[in-house]
Amino acid sequence: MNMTPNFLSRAFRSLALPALACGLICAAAATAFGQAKETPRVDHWVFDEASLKNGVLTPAQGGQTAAILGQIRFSDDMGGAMMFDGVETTAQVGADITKVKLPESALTIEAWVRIDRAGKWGGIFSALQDNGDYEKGLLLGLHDSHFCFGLAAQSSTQITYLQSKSSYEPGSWHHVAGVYDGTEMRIYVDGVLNGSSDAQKGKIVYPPDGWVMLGAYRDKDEYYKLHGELREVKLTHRALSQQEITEAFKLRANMIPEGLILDAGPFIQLSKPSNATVTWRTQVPAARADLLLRPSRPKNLVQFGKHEDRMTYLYGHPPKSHTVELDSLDPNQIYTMTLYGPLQPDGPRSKARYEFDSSLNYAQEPGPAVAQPFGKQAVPDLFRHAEFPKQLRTDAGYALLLGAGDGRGAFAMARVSKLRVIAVEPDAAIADNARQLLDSVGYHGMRVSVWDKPLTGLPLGPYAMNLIVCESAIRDGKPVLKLEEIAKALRPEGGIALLSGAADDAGAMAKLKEWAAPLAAGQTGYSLQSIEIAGRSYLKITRGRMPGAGWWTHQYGQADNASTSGDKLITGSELDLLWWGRPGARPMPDRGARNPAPLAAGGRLYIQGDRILFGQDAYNGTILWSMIVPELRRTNLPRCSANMAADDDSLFIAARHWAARIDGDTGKIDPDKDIFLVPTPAEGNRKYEWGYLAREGKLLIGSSVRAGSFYMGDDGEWYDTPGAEDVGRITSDELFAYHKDAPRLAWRHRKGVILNSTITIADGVIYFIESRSELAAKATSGRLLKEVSDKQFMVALDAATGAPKWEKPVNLPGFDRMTYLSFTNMTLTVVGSSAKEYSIKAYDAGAGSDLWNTKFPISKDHHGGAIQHPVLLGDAIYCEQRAYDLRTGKLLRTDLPERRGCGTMSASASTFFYRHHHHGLWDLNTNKRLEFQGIRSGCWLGILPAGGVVLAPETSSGCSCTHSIQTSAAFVPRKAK
Amino acid sequence: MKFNGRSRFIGIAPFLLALAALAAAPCAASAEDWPQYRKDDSRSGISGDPLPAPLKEIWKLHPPVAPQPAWELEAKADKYSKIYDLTPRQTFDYAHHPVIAGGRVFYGSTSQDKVECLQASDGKRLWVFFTEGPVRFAPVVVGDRVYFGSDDGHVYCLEASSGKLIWKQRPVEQPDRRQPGNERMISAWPIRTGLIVREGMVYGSAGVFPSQGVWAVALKAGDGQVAWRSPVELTTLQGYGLASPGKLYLPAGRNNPVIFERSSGKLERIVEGAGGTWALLAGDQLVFGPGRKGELGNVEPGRSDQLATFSGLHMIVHQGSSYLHSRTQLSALDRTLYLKLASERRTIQAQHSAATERLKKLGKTPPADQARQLRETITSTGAQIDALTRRMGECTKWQVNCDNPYDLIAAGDLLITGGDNRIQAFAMSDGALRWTQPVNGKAYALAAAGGRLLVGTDKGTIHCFGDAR
Repeated sequence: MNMTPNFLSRAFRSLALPALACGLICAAAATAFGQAKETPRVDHWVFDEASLKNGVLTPAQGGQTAAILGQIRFSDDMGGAMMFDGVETTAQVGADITKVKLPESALTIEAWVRIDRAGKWGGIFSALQDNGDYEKGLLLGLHDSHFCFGLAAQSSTQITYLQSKSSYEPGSWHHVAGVYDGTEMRIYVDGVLNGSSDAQKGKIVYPPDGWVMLGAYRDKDEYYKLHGELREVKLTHRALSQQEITEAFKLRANMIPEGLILDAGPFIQLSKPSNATVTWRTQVPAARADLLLRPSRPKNLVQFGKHEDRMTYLYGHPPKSHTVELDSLDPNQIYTMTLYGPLQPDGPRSKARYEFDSSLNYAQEPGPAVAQPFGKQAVPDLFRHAEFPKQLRTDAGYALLLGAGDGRGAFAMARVSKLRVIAVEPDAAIADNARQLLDSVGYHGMRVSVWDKPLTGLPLGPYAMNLIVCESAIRDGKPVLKLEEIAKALRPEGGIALLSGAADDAGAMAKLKEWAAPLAAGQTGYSLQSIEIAGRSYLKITRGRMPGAGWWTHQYGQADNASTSGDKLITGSELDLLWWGRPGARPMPDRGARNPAPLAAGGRLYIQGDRILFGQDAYNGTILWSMIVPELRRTNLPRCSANMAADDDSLFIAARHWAARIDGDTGKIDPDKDIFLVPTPAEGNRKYEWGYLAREGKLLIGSSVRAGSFYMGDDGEWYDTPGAEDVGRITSDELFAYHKDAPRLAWRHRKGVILNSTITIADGVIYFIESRSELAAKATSGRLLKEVSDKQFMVALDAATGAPKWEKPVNLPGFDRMTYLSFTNMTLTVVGSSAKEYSIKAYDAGAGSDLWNTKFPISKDHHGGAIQHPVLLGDAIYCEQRAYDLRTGKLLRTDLPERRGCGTMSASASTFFYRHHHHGLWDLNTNKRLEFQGIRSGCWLGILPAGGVVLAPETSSGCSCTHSIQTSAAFVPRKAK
Repeated sequence: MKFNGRSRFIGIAPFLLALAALAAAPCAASAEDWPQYRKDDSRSGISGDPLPAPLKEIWKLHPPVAPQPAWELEAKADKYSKIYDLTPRQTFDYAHHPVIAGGRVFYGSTSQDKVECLQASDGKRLWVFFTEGPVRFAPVVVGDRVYFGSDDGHVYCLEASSGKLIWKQRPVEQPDRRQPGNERMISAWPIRTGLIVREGMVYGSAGVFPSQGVWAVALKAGDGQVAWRSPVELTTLQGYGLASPGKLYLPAGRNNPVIFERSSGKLERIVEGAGGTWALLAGDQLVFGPGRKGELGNVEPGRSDQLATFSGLHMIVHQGSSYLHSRTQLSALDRTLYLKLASERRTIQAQHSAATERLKKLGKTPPADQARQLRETITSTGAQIDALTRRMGECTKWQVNCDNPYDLIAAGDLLITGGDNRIQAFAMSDGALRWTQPVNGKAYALAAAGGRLLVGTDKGTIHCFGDAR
């Protein structure tokens, strides 16, 4: 199905009808109108609880029932409405269209509807078949962000889809009506005429078979389900007048709840297996916070928990920030959460509704709350002391206890933390006893695993241990451990070992220091410290950053968009698995959907799923925290910029009109300190959302995008061929900088309309391309294409002050599909493509002078083959299957690896990663390529060479083909120490 | 007393013959036992023992920690293909699957890293054996031996009566290595198939990731020595294995099952289909799924393609009928007739496709005679296909609503279904609902033997039902 804006070009085809036919049709229409005036039939379905019995909706008028398919849920909006989940829920008036009484010559189809999520197509009422070459029937529905009214009559062989001029507001209630009087189609939104067409004339023509649906567009080929709500649908066999439509709108207009606009959030932190902490910030201080929580399956309500579904908090001093703890959540439930605005003296309160899926809660089960089985004085002093937890950077991950004894230390360690403990005991009988004791209180297995093995020569892979403890590291005056084993097992970026000798061995510390000294000699990344806990001395070995490790802090590596981490540890092609596991496919967007790449910094991996975030230990895969952010969604990155950035301590995210700083270890947000708002003021109907996001020095850089412009990709859109040249770019009206540690503006810049995909930061300078065309400035949307192809300038600003450094006009023909700007070695490259060829232009970053340009044919015009992002590494730019000298443009090679999939490449200092049939690797030094069979990534950038390891979160989600394994995984060079 | 060579041979022969017979049996369990996952190594899921009526819960075991499956549910939707609510294809460890042998119940734990033996009559623990990783698959009991694998990379053989270790074996040559996998510190080569014990051999697999090494393996049941080791490229091996007289069938996670020659380990082929770890051998036919949409495919011996697909998650094949179990329905099918019609349809379909292809190759202006002949073939074969499809649709004997999608077994003349917080029994003859029993959680693991019904749930509870009198 294809359609042009407002109404279809195909609608005009009927104008060529012979005059005789037109006359006949007009006569027929007049007759129909006359008949309708006498006894118009009305079918009226009201979607409230009172009308539903045993899954069947009894109509308020007309006698034609509707069977509800899928989950049934109601909201209290508009006096009661049914929620349609976009997946299962629909209402079927009939599976045989010939048995449903449908209007013949004139009609009005009206609905009160709320659209929560846009789709390419959607249905409110459908009775049609549209094959492209066979089009008949009737539709009231939506197309992208507009309502549409489709109809085929005798005068045409095709359906005219009349589209409303105005777009609907997601999450808001609208009255929409389609009217056909036999000669003209009209569409009304909220009582106002929003479009008309005279392309159809005569009796309505329906297909001979098919469905009549409410809340869905369904024919033999397509089934688009509504994601939103319906209050009522009314089908009148007569064309209502403008006045009647307006009256129908006014009848319920006063019940439309105002949408609650939050300052930021909500953030739903999944802190415990059956708990969630909800945080949000209101725009003005509120004297009360109201939250309504309802499960999707009412039959499970009994499991919902001990609290009421509605929570109200009253404050003495009205705050803007609100936090509510939800407990006893069903672990496998879709919840609908409604936040309410201030009480209104008259009319409904403003509210905002969100969904979250509690099955995505990966918080670790605590050990059973039981009495310990070791007697009163059993727990070793170390683990009882308040100082012990303080030594840990986080209390989650893996711990190795060398010398487990009867398991009491391991038990204590597990009780005071979320660590999974590997307790090693060389004596088999003692080990078995420890297992029995731990099992008796439910701690063996998930929390503590006991290995009856010697303390050395353990079969451990590298980097896994956040904590290693041995309180008998010196025996008979000699170290009993192997230093290189301890060093290798420790997690970089903060893993610690606490080692001591026997409590009465006064010389143990000196011996341990001597033994461990080689670790700290030179630039090794290890440090040694003597500490005292509970009166006992411990040697503390801390493993810091591995020398040569590079991180992936922005969408394309760094803010320079070079798609490299610079990591020098990932070399060669011999990699082993380091870890695998969650998150799996469930929380991820379909095939990655060209959404923001995962990021990695400071030993953590940050993954953006479908409106959910995960903070993960990069070295052992432990999920440190997870948080549902219902507003966090962005796709089509080749025409946009990402909504995440990271540094060693924090992750920054952007959604709607705000950005937030999240603590990297805990996932916590302080809503009073960690929220940054778009500073660009609204101009009439033009409001702004946060676009670009980067961390630069002590600043957080952002940009303002006209609201409603971002691609959401919820319906499996790929923005690939065909039509890749017509996909608009996300643009910004303003660049700005905040101090990253406090929401205080540093500078603002506004001149042209900036292409977000070009914003690049390197060496303290921000580079971008902007258009200064009037068309771009005046456009209503920030999703622009031709408007920004004119009057383009490349601009360089001082990142610290926002002051201009240089600018120059640029001419970029042939950059129809995308425009990427990247920086390396004082060279800026612009990469784009047209339908036939790639274009590269290179500039000197110092003053913007031209260096070289080239074009080459695209080799694969599908699966992202023509929108590849380049990799800039050393003195070369690698794009699609070619490499050019960065400064001269000399073609260096044309033998880059073939990629079967639709992703784009990433690189360490010497190795490239990409999606082929499986995860693919290309070693630049040896030209060797290989694949990790059975596992593959998604449709944009999903493999990060960072921190000395290769991080590959699950991004193939949604692909239902039979590749064996869908999991997040990490790989490590075989020679890793 | 002196023995000559002959008399010595004669004296030992009966013992050896008995031993050989024992080893040759698919499993040395009595008719009243359910000694491995789904009763036998065809995974038939059929107990000949009728269940008493009324049933009563005799005991239940509720461990302190719920099972910890390796893999979570599939993605929510394949939006590109417009498939919503994808069916999970790897549910083999969503509950602890109990087995019953010699008046004892055995189960392995994914969260407490152990195998436990309980007294079947009252649930009292008889012994426990710990491993260094999750035990994801039900043990196999053969005589006084219990075999199972663990994520710690070892295959274990215990004495069934005491739980004492007889042998343990790492079936791969690589040095042991442990690393975080599925949120646990496990072997780089965990045992991820439910074992098969047949004719003195233990069959299974080791490894998850092909690039890291995945092997189908055969160990000698007596001492655990490796008999053969067969590398697998491109796919994982995960799920409960199956065996026929000559073949070994190993599910491959989300992928399609792999067939090996049982005597040598030679990889024969990967069958075609939409993947999944649930599998059944109905005679010499492999049935597996549930694919993306909840479909079971039927693969004939010697072939890779699917003769037919059935809408369903589980199947019982009994006396010429298939009992199919979908998310919402339970039905009985005349299997013999259905497969006969499906075979005919496949033949006609091949003719239809060949004619269509030939016509296409003739181009836009084909010779008239040839084109007419081909069109006639296409039309007539099309009509035959439609007629056969209609007849296949008429093979359903009965169909009832059944909202218990997690497991299906047969006991006596009943079909037992596992649902959400309940199990229900239906008559095999007409699908009539006979009884409902509440359970704690989703009933993923059903087993029946000796008049007892065991139910394992996703919350870890094992219920034992028996005679209420």
